[in-house]
Amino acid sequence: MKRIIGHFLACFAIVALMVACLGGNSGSDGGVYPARPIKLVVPFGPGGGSDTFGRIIKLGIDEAGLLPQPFVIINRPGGSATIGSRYVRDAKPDGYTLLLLHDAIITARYSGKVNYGPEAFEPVASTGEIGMVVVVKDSSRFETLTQLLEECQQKPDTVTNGVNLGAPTHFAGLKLEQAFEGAKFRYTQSGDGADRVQKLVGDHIEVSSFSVSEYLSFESQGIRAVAYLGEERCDALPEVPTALEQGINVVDSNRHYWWFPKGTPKQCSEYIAGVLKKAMQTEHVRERLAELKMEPSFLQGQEFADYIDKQVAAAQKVGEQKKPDVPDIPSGVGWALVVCVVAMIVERRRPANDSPTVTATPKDSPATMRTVGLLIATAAYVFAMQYGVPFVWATVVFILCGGFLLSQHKRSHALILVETSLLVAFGVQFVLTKIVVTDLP
Amino acid sequence: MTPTEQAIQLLIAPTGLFLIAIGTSLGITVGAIPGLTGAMVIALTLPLTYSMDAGNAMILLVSMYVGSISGGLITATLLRMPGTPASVMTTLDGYPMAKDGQPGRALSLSIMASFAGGLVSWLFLIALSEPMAALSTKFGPFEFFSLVMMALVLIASVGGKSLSASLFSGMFGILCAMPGVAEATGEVRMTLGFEELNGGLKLLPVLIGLFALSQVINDVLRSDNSIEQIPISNQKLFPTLADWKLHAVNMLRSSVIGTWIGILPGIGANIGSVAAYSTAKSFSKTPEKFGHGSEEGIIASESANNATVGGALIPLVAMGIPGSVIDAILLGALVLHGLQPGPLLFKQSPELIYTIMGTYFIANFFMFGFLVLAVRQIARLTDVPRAFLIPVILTFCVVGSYALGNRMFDVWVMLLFGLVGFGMEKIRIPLAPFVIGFVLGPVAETNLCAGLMASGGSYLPLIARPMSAVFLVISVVLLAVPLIQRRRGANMPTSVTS
Repeated sequence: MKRIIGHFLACFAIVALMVACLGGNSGSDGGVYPARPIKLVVPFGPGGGSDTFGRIIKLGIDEAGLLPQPFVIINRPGGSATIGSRYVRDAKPDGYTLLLLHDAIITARYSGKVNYGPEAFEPVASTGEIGMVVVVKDSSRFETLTQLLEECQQKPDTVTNGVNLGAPTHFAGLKLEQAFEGAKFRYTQSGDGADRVQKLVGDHIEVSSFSVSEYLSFESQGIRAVAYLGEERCDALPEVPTALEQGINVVDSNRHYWWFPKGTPKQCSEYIAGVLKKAMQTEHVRERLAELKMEPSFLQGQEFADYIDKQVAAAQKVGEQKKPDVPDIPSGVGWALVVCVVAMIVERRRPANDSPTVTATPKDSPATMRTVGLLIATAAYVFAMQYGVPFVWATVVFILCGGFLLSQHKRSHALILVETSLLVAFGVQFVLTKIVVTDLP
Repeated sequence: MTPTEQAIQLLIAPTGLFLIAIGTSLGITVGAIPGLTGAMVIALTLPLTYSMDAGNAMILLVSMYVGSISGGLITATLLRMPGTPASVMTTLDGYPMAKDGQPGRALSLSIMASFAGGLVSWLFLIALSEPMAALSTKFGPFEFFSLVMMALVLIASVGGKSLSASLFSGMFGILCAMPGVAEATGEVRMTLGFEELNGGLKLLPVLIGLFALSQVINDVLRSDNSIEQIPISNQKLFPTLADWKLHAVNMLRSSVIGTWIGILPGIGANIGSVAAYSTAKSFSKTPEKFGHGSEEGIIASESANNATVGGALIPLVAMGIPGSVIDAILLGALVLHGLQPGPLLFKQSPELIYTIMGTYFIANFFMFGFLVLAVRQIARLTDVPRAFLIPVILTFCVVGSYALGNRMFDVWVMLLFGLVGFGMEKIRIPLAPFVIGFVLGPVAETNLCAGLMASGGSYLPLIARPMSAVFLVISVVLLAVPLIQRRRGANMPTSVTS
């Protein structure tokens, strides 16, 4: 009796899940963009300026219901934003993978990190202008930017400047050097905003540049701005003089740009640009941007393209940078590995003085055959999905085959296996596509 | 609202309690089934938490962690098979005692000890995390590099039987973390011509391969001649007050040992229970009973292995350095949910840290309750036919690896590392140092390069800065001691772990 109830419940669950999966699918793929969640790749670690900005926009979009599909943020930090930008560049140009990246998209090429620039992407829009500040620790001996640069001039390559190599923070430093004859910083790879603050406060670097919003959110941790790199003083930081006031001819600001992979249909980028424009006008975004002292400016189309060209020209002037000088760590690790192997061989040659507890593996050939069979089945399962077999059916077949292989073809297990396979296949499909928003093969 | 209030609100909300209940019970079940481990189920659950917010995701995963370490005691006692590696020592005394007709008492003692171990290490967790985080904000690149080196040496010298095999494993882990864009310079390296490798090998597929797939291969290879399970009948499971009193000292001592061993990076629960077990034996008035159903042995093993969980969470929340394989997965979970693990986590999202601490506390009560009330039912679950379980697990392995980046490449990586993991275990190379190397290698490299850029290429600060020097000296000592001992031919007490 118990068993029958069990089977009944299983069948009921399967049917329910089937209806839930298939029912939803038929409506959503009708060619209307967007039919799936849109992923926004933020190529920086969480907590930094870009990430905060992305999340503000996401909240604005969600609260005002501007997108019929979820808007999901994915952080892909590292390599001075090149890991994230490469990921989007190589993504399918179907309008579902969006990149949020500021001027680093331009500067990365001139620091020799990547061989592509803005031209490898489909520009969508530019939102929000952020000023940059040059920052030292509270207790630093540098009171003004001039003082700082004078020291860099007298003792070149001694003042450590924490930057994300090849990113705008790096270029801000290079522009300062250019404006002040003979000044030279010692650049140190120091990661994203949150990392740089920690290093500044911990006396591991002496200077760093931050966006105004980053600076404001970290100010309480004991840092001080010596110059604002705008045309005029920033409303949020009235006490911080501009570089121009201090006689140093540098103006630098940073804008957030939105990109699609090259080849994404125009219709998609126009649609998203429209959504972003609306999002910039929502109350939530306006309030938060005001808090962060960010200008809610918006560029699109030709205007945006011209702006990018201008930035590219400016970056070209500063020129290509040589690669930083670091030890060849991979070969170091390789040699260490070789040493370990030798040590291991020597050790194992000796008679082991501890008891030979190594269990002799049973030379059970049917079990070995089953294992190999199962692995082949798994590989075939993955292959099948790679070449377009739908997830649900591939899974059902795989679980059935695997189960029969392992149960040694017991008939009594057949019914339960069929139920298990359907339950798992539709269950996973349901959970992943409806609840968690990822797409399956 | 203060961060503490936020955390409490999240935890006592129906969702929070529900997730703790699910996580703990699932963890216990998985821990009880030999061949399924906590690392496996947590790695496989991670993709399912994408859509949750970070707080709830951590609630679920930490509860599973607590459950999975505890569940092993059931199989250890009733089947003489450690359900998870952490309860190896429990088999030594739990099973003889159960065979003597006292399975209920053996389970009851284990459950009591697990609970006590959890609570004691929780106290350490709340007391030590914040000071440790505050201390480590003073760490610069050189300190972090030396700290990571110490962690790697520590796991290699204490964790396994053979120093060279463990070091090899750790180095191999570091090497596997190298392909892709180098964090320090932005250059693309070692991709062997695969464009997909530009982003490097991802932690999750590698872990699922190493710990889930290779385990499955082992399970299938092992011919399953099932051992007779000892029935529990109707024995009382709720520990009496007398038991609490009788074993209080041992529980406290073993829990403290477990916690401290848990704090050391990379050393897992099994070492903790081995250490506590041998300490208990040397303190015992009846050491001859150890291995033949000693109550003290059960208590020592189970309180210590649960205490390592709390201990291992300390460096995780304070410095972003994982104390065990499962913590490495939790670290990955934090990153996936948009949080930057490290000393600043305390400042940036204190509510999340309090949520983790709160979950750990509550999950221990749930674990205690579940085990006392439902140990019989869970024991019955352990003989689900493999034929159903394994194909389903394989499906989850595939889906879990795919869902991370939506690409088949990661699935192939998972399959490859399944074979690698199986092969490494076959030639007796431990897997844990690999994972720690894989996770910490890039941290070490980035910090070393950053440090060298700041010092203008000079390695001097590595030994000139006091904290960094201390870590390095400890590493050298840890490396040297086993070598010297071997030179002398002294019979080092070999650890009993498998």
